[in-house]
Amino acid sequence: MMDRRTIVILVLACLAAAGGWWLQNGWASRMPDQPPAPVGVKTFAVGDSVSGYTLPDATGQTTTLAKWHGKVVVLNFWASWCVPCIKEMPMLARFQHEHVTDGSQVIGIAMEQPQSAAAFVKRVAVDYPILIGIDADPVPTTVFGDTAGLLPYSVLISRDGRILETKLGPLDEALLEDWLKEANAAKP
Amino acid sequence: MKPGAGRSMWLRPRFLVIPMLSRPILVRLMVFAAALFMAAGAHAQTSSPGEGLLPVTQAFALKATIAKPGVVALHFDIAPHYYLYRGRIHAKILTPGVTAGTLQTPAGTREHDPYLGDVEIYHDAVEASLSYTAAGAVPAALKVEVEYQGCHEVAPKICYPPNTETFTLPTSGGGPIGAAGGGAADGGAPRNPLTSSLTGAPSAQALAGDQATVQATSPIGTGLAFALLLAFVGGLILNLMPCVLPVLAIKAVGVLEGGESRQRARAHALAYAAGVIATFLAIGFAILGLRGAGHAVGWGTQLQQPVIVAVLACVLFAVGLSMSGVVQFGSGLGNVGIGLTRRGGTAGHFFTGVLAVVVASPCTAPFMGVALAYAFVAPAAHELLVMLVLGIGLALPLTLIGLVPALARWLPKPGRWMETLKQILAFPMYLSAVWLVWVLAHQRGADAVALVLVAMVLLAAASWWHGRGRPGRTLGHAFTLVLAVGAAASLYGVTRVAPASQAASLNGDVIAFSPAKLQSLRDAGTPVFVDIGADWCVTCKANEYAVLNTQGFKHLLAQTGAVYMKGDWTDVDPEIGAYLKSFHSPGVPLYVVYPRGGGDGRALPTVLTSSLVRNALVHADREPAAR
Repeated sequence: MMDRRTIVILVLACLAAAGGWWLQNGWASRMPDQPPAPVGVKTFAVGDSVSGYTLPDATGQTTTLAKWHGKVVVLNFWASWCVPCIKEMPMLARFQHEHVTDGSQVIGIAMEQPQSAAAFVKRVAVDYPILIGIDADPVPTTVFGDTAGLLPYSVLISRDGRILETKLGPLDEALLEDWLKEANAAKP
Repeated sequence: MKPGAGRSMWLRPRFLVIPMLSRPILVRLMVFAAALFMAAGAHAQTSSPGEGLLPVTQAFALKATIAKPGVVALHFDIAPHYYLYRGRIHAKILTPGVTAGTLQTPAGTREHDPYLGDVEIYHDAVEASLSYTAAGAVPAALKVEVEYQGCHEVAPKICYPPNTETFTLPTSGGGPIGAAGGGAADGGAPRNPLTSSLTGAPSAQALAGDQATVQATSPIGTGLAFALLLAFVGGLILNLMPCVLPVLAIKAVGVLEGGESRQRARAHALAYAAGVIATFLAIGFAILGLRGAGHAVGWGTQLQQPVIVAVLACVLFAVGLSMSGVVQFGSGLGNVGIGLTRRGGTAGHFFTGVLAVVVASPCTAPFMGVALAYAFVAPAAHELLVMLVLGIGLALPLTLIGLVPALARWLPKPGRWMETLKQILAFPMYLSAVWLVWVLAHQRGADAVALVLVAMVLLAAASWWHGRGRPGRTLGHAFTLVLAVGAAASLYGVTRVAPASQAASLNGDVIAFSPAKLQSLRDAGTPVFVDIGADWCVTCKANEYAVLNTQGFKHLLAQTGAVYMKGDWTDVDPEIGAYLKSFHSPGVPLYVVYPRGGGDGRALPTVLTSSLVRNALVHADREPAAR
């Protein structure tokens, strides 16, 4: 009934209407999901290899992500002042326990000083590795694509060390299971 | 109204709808339907501050002032769905030789967190104060650094990293700081990269807002070229405004119904454009005339006349009937000479253009208001130019399709689906008629509504009888004429109905507009939010729906202590007319915010958003008296 031209015109019409809507409401003052990184800071994109990235742990010892090469890694940026972060951490710990045998690794990156991070982790019984991101330059959240430094922020890394997914805001178990499936399906 | 006028108004739709619809019409109908639905969705969305996150400095808008000697006052304006932690607000004074006391913060809402223990958070707004003492003489300016941290409490639930802002506050004079301070910090240099990315692009709202402010102070400040540009863009956008549905449908059905030959399509397109532009020019001349006579005029003011509202309601109803196929127009045209048909067709297109402008007038598109405001006070030649360009803008998209065969070739093939679509579009027509009847009910009450409904029934009867009639039966024609005259008489009756009782029942929080009351409030130093609207003003209704009738706006009034004063221009009102004129407003809506301390009012843009109103009111609350 409708030929191809009609469809094309309809699509154009919708675009025009959307343009009108945009004009009518003013250029929204909402920020894009993430603003651009500061000039000169190299950031990772999905697909980039991050194996060579290093951060100190709570004792100050430098650790490279290559240490977990061959595992599906979930990087979780958090801070003890971030309520949504600390709400999801017990769930992450549980996930780690359930998947300890199938080569999955949760790594927390604390965006605060090592002392308070360590104290907090002890209190909530989180036993996956914690790295300290607060003093690193450039800021690790920025490097991993969370240029606004919003927390929580999580990154899925494939067994061969490439970024597969990122997520701003809390994770849930269903999403983690999906991520795991995706990482296992990803070709090395 | 003379019977003849009623008849021609009534017969006009026969030229609008002819059974053979062409492809262009179809496409247009679909385009407009799409535009309309999008626009409708847009209104639904403006009220939800949902998706997307605000930059940290907008989520937690911080202002610092020196409230009195020795005390720095901090004011956070927290956007809905965001909160600040009490324990994570820190302030220090960087100026050497000045010692800060402890930051005083009010008790927040207590929340228990299993891991964090008890935390206190703030919503909406919070005031904090920081005392300071100087070892020697108080320096001329104080540098204050404030750190704060907060979160977003609905999806996506995230927390912002601690943000630091630096303010330089003048301490001169000791007392409440003067206009130089004005609560204006140097904005700090927030470390957050978000801010810089945001401040770069001015928004349309901001642009409109700036223009509105300019217009309030110096109307001629807008140059002619700029006004013409705004008029053109405004005219184009008018094609997409939600209230233009009836116009668009009428245009869609009408403009290119010929379609068979290129010449006819071109002639029809030009006739339509001529109709639109001529009407704008006529409005332009009318404004000049009325302005000379000292009357308050504005965009959409013709809808203050109940009889015009009633006639429009009938016209839309008739167009709806013909689109529904309830009434078959055109069957009686067979015997009329081809030349006459053609002429009639061209005239029909011309009047479609006229009708388009008349029906579009309850809408004020973005940019258009500024152009009109300029035009209403500009020299005659400039005023007419702006009107001309507005008309060109409104007419351009549809005229182009008629003029450029390449565009027309892109249009889909006619078929039965066109008929279906036409019938579907009849329903928005009926709804538009309902809306106009509602406006009339507010203007003149139940009697006027009854009259217009009677007119509609008589119109339906006349068209039904006309549709059945055979050519040559003078008696049949005479009866049609009688029915049409009856309809016109009913409409004339509307002009005789007295205005409905003026006992406008505004609810408790709202004060009815009166210049005297406004003056007394300003003398008392109370901030005032003045809202001048009208029932026939679609933009006003959209703003009420999206912003002014929301809980958030109520809270904002309570929080800033502002008084909400509402004026209704649905009917002619010289006081309100004069007030609009004092702000060089071309019509309604007009929103004016008066600051605390009795300063001058500042006009807001015609299309409101929650954040825009919030900023304006908070600013008005904080603004020290300019004089």
